[in-house]
Amino acid sequence: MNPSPRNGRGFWGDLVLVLALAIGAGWFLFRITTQVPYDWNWPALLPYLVRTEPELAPGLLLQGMAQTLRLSLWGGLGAIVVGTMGGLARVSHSPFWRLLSGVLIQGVRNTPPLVLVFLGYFFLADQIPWLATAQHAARQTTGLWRLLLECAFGPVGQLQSLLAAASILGVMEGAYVAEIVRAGIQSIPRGQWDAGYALGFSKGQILCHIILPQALRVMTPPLAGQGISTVKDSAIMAVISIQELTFQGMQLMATTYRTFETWIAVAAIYFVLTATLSSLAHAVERRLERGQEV
Amino acid sequence: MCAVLLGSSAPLHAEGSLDAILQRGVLRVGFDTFVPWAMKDTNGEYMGFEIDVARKLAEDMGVSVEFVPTKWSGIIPALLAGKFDIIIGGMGITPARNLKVNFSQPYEFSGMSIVASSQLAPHRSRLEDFNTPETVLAVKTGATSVAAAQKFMPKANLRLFDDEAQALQEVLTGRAHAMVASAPFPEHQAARHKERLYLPLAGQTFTREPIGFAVPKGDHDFLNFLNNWITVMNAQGWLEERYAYWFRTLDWESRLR
Repeated sequence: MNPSPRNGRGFWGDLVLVLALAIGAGWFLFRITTQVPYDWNWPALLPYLVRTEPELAPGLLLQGMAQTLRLSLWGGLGAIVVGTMGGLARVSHSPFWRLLSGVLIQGVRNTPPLVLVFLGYFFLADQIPWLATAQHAARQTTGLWRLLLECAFGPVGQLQSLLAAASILGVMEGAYVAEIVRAGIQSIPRGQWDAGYALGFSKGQILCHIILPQALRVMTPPLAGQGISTVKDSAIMAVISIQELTFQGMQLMATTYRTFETWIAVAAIYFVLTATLSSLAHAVERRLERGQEV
Repeated sequence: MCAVLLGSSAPLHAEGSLDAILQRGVLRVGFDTFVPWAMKDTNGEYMGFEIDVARKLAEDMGVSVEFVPTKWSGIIPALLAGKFDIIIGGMGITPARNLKVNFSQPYEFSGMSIVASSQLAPHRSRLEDFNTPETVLAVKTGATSVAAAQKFMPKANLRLFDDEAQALQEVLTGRAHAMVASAPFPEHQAARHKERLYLPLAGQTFTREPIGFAVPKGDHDFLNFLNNWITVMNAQGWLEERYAYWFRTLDWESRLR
């Protein structure tokens, strides 16, 4: 499996394609800078990225980026927990567990994310009493605890809504992770289970020591993709006013009216985040492949 | 016995919201960014007329203030779901809203104003000029500007946007003839984009809207406190003085850049 670079169109074909794309992009840039009545003012955005007075500190957009990272991190961890349990339940012998995880997965996959976010935030989140307790306890913290809490969850006053949003994101992404886990486990040949049983291992031992280590290699690429999706999907939490990147961008537009610059900057920040994650995932994959060859 | 019962449940489940706020030591205020009511300066600090009002209210209650910026289209559901204690966000008192929330007496008055594109809709000076099926009006979703536009220009086409910046952009790019919004937004924009925008009514507002604090229904102690706080602030001239600073001057604009 090593296609030659000269395969297909060849050099001239590629050149024509690249030229056509460049002309298209140039024409588009020309149109939006000259034809659309809009005064471009990129420097106006600078203080909202990094502010220098009274001291060097992240601006509104970078604060939003940090909150997006926190939301994705906790949402992603939640998704791994929900997804692993859901995926294992899906391949369970008990019809009850299969049904339960089936309802979760089908329910999430067949409803629009926006509807799930509204339902989760306005109805379900208020029914979880420990969220309010956590919020109350967080307000009482001081000193080092407060600092650690703010590093992990952002401003203390927004803890409750951040946890609610992360939980919703965790369940939404978890449904997709569950299918990845199920597919990973089912991709391991039946013979591996039989061999385990023949050697006298228990079901749990076979799963932990034989099946999951092999399944993990199959699951890594789709899991990485889901992780990147989690960062992008976290933007939807702007509708319930979680102060992540998209929300801060919209607040910024309402203040400065610099619509295009702000959206482009927001898109660029998302791109940097997900491109970094992509290359990280790629490195992990290569690492795992090497392990297989040895 | 009663005190013991109350004491055990007080920290999280105090009876009225006034008690809950005092117990918590924090007043949570919901609003949406809207110049010059509430906005963030370049230092990341909130500023604006409503911000001044919220800070002063919290100070007089002896608690600290926590700002919860919230999308305008979902601000009432968020209040009812208990995401914050009060909306201090230039919310116009309307019967429809009042069916869902309680309003304090008005603490300021606002009005609708219109700003038009000088290329697409030049030389119009009356609202009737915009009341044609060809006219496209840009407004913000869920705001009283929608009702005002429908009442005064029922024949015009309304296009709804999530915030003022998008609605304004629609007029600037020439896809909408005019935009209806609370003063002084149209006036500020006409001054900022002199060559593309103008004020058909020469800066006059065509409605007068009472603005009140919104709180969840059923808590009359809190409402009584708010009403009397407004009476006291009016008597001291404090509200009028802050209103003049934010709406009749542009001294604060330097903090935005």
